[in-house]
Amino acid sequence: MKFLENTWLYRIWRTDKILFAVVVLYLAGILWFVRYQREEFPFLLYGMYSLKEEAQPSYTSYMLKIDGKEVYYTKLWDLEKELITAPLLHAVSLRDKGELTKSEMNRVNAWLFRYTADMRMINNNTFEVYQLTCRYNEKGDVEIIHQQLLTEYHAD
Amino acid sequence: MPTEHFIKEYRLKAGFVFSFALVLLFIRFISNALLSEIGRPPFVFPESEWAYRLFLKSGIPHFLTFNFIIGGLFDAMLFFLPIIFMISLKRVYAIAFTLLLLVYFFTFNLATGHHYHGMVAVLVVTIPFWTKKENRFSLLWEGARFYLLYIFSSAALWKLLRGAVFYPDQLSNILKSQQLDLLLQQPNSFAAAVAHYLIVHPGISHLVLIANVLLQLSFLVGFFTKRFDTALLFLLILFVLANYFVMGIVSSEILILGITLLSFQQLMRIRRRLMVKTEMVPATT
Repeated sequence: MKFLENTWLYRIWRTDKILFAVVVLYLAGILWFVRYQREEFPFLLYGMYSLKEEAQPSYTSYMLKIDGKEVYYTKLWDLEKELITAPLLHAVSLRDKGELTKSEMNRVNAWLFRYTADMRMINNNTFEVYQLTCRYNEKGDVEIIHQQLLTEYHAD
Repeated sequence: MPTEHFIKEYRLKAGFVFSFALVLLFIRFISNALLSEIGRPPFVFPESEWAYRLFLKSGIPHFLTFNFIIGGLFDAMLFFLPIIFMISLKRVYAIAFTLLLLVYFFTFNLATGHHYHGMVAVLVVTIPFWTKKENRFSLLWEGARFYLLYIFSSAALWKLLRGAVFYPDQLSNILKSQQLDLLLQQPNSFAAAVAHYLIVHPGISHLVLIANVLLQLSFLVGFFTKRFDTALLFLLILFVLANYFVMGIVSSEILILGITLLSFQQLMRIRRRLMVKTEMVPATT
């Protein structure tokens, strides 16, 4: 009993009933979403790569070109890289599933072009995205086995 | 009435938390990731979470990003509010900061179509400053500490319960997709060398994964005692560094929750001792 009286929840219950209700509701929400293994803000589960990852026969990467020159986005600040790669990956995956229209894809491309070009102070109007299909050889080195122009955007 | 001791500790904690938040915002500023810098995202990605759907429907993300001046004012407020709060300690500024940060968090995630959780740490650690009642503040501060413990314990438990930690090729396979861009674009970098080594040595990478799970699991001890908080802080820093060098993930934002692991009683004593020392200087010279 003495142990329970020292717990954080008990102390909240004793000093602040409203806060206690909020905390209990939050914990109940977390447990609810744990049950379904699903995240819903603010009930975050923090799996941090806990899903089993199988080896793939091939892996996909993207190459961006502005004015024919490759954008080495891994050399950018982490957030800049995320701002370029996350929407691109998401958009391509949705487009392949037919969940993104051509005009929506164009809008994503236009935005990515603006963001990437603005950052690099480039005044050109061509933006190309290539899909690279890669695999790892027995030495663990990456080999590009297929390169395909995925989308291109020409600004007005 | 709050005691003088409490006000001093509150001010010190506010200084740590909101200065750290400013540093994180500055990193976002130089990374071209603030709302006035991200251009005009199309917000075309369908959302599965109700909070995001609701926020998108409100029109706030469009309003804040489609006009550079409005976005700029919003960004300026994000920097202004922590400063004014640290000076005045008026809780209204802390509340406003958390809410504005929440708006930023939603807008950024809606723009990228990916739900990044780093900023949640900043949101959580600013909530205690919504109150100046000693009891409530202390309980909320402890709550923020528990949230940090929860993040790591949860990460470890999921890996154990889903069996990922027992799968020898797990980390090696994760790295093959996670570090692919790096291996293609900067194959001669140190991080690429680390990734390559771990990919071709799945036994070593499995040991790294087990060490990571043990590190995360050790945060469970914090639920029962505060005696190991300094060690947990060290483990937190180690995790952030390893996460960067192995996975290429920048998780510096989570470090802000590490402030809740600091012993402020000790910091206050050090501060008092320093103040006494500096007061003695003119008397002795």
